[in-house]
Amino acid sequence: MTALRRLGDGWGMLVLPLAAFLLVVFVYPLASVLARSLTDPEPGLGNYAAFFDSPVYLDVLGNTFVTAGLVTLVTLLLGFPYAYLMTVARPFWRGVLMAAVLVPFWTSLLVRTFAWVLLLRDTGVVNALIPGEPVPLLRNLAGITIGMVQVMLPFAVLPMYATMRGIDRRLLRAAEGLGATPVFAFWRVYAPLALPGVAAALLLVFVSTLGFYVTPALLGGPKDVMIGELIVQQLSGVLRWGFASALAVILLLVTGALLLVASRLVDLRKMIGSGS
Amino acid sequence: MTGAVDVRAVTKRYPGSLALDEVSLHVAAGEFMTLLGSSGSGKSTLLNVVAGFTEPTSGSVLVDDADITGVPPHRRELGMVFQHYALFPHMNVFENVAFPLRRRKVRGAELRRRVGDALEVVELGALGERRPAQLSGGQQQRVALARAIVFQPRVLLMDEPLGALDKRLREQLQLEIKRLHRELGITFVFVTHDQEEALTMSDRVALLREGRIVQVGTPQELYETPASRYVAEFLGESNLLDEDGGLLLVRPQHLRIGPPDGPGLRAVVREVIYVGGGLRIEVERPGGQRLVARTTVRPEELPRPGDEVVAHWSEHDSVNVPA
Amino acid sequence: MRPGRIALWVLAALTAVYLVLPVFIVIPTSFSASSFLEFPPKEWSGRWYENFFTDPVWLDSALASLRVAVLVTLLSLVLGTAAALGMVRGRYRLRALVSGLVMAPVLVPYVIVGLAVYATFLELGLTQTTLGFVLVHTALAVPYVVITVSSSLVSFDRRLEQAAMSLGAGPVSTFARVTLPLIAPGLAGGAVFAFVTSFDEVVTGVFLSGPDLTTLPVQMWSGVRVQIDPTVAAVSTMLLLVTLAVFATAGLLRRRKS
Repeated sequence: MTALRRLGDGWGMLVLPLAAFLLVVFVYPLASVLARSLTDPEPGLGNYAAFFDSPVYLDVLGNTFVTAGLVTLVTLLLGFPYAYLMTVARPFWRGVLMAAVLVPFWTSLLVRTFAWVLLLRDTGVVNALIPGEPVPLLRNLAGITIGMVQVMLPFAVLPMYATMRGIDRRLLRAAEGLGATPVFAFWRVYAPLALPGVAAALLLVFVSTLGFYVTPALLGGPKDVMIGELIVQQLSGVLRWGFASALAVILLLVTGALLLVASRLVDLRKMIGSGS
Repeated sequence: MTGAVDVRAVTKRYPGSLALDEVSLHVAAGEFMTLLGSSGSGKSTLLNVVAGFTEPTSGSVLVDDADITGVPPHRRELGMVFQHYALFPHMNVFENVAFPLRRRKVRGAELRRRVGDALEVVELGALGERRPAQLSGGQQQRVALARAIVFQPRVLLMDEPLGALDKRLREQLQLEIKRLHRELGITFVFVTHDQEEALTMSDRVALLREGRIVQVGTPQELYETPASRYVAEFLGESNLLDEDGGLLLVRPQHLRIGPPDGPGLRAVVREVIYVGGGLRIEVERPGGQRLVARTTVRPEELPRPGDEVVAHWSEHDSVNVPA
Repeated sequence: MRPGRIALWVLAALTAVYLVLPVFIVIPTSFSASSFLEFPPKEWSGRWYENFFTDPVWLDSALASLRVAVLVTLLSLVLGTAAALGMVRGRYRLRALVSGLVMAPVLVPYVIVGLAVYATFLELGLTQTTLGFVLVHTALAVPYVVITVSSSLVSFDRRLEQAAMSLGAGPVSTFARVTLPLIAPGLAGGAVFAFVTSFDEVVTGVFLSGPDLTTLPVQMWSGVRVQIDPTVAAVSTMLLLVTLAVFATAGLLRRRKS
């Protein structure tokens, strides 16, 4: 039996190669970023002081939060009814709704962002449909929001659908049988049951938007710079390694804190896996 | 004949619990031994120790006097039929049965012949191409049996193999497993929680409770001379009467119900139920103890609930049970 | 149908259009004859496809992406499957820490990962190399492999392995003949995720790319950002068609199986 016993311990050992790999390729570089933010160009908290002293940079941080908040709100307004409808629709229509969510999920992010450039330009399709002077939809907050919500909707709809599908609809009927109106039953029975999953999904959307780079950089304008883009600017233009590192640490801390809250609500691994 | 299994002082300790407590058991070559017990009694753990899936904390297992305690399961040459069959869903019936032969480098015509023979034995000759999911529960069970015997193991271990089947199918397969045991002549170790199944099928039964064997013997010995109150109550219905510090066991078929003026224990009829060919009469003694009698009585003597009666038995039908 | 329900359907329909339509707008655009992007095109031509297949910059970046993505898929399958086996079946110390570590690459913003590996890889001379890209993309892709393989391992009936062993199969042959075929769907799912994650990854690529090695998404990125190159529309269309083909095949296979 000792052979099987050794095998049992052996299973656990199988985690080691990946753990070692990530320590070298992922954790070590992140740790050097932290070190760099405190040592480059000189030891101390200078980089952080520079950030919190400058209204320009604080604006970027504020901007980042406002954009993420707006994207999250619009995602909720579009995504919640959508996910709810998926739980009550007939199988065929549920399939159609699901396919519509999965198409952007599986198409290249750049393809989609590029499509928005085509659509939202002054000479683009959307402006062709709107009479009068072209409405500026690109290189501003509207552009970022339109692009980001499309990116984020699948990440919100899939876990929200998974949560809501698990809610026993007989509870609603029971509530109505006990004298509640359908609306009352929805808000008092259904919504509270859906809340943890929905809240966690939205928190994930918010966090992902905070650190997003591609879509804001392509669809936003000079006034809408978010922290991710600022990090790249600090490197590509002026090579301020220490300052860029400090920005990364700040973003990482905010992200980590919010994810900690999200993980209290639901199992994050399930959220990440729900797209499969 | 080979295939004798010796379990010697096997203990299995899990963090916070003792699954097996110094269990020793000898299974003779060619014997049909059943490990009987309720859930958590340790019967499945014991089977898994013999199969090699569970390593005992202490003690040893021998087959034909060779110590196999440290041998991994795939080198033990013991056949095993699992609960819910454990058929490989990605292989058809033929490949499932061929699996152990391929591992033993049996190829070509020899392979086909032996798989065909095994499937014939379980009367599934025509279903080789099917996938397990396309078979009924009973058929899946037969495939699992064929797969476990096709490599001619010395011992066949079975872990509640009939638990998932309905009653009629179960009874039919019980008979087939008995037939298989006669035909193959190898040792069977069979785990079940169903006392009726144990009594019908086995040469001997080992009753387990809380990690210990409380009694080993033929079905008749266990039923007629139980070693304790637990054994008496586990196997079949029983009436246990306190008598001068001892216990007296009278099985329901030996308890008679008579008119209140005769000799015996006074009681009041509570329930009369017609079952199959006879009656099941439940009576209550003055202290509240209920006794059960199974009998075939003439309709005009049929007692009714509320009737005062006397319960009696002949002395050679009662057994003293150690308390 | 109640008015509320109708409103809900209208909103969902508009949302579905919003999700899907932009993706398909690139198809007609890619066939425009104009040097500027137009929709709808006034004149049609295949010149941007020709440009893709004749311009070594585009071709090289596509081949680089393919090479990187294939290597990433293989490496993350090996590392991820082993880790999933360990995490589902094994006993090991610091469980919470290890599973946090394995999931972390998905949760940390890619900009930060990009900055971090750029700094480290510059010192090691790994920027603009296939190895550098493979290492980073594997870190980003491996959590998806772990998730998909773990979930198929969790639903895997271990008695099947015991059955195989009781029938004489050793640990290796049990794994190869019983475990692997049965968790294959999980592995395939993980492989698709890993491949797509690598093939579509822009952000870390922006940091690591250069004249020596540029991946396709980074090439597309500069094709949109720096000057608007209509070749991007042609590439987008081809990527789209490949994706649709993969899904159609997967759908057909699933239907035939059931």
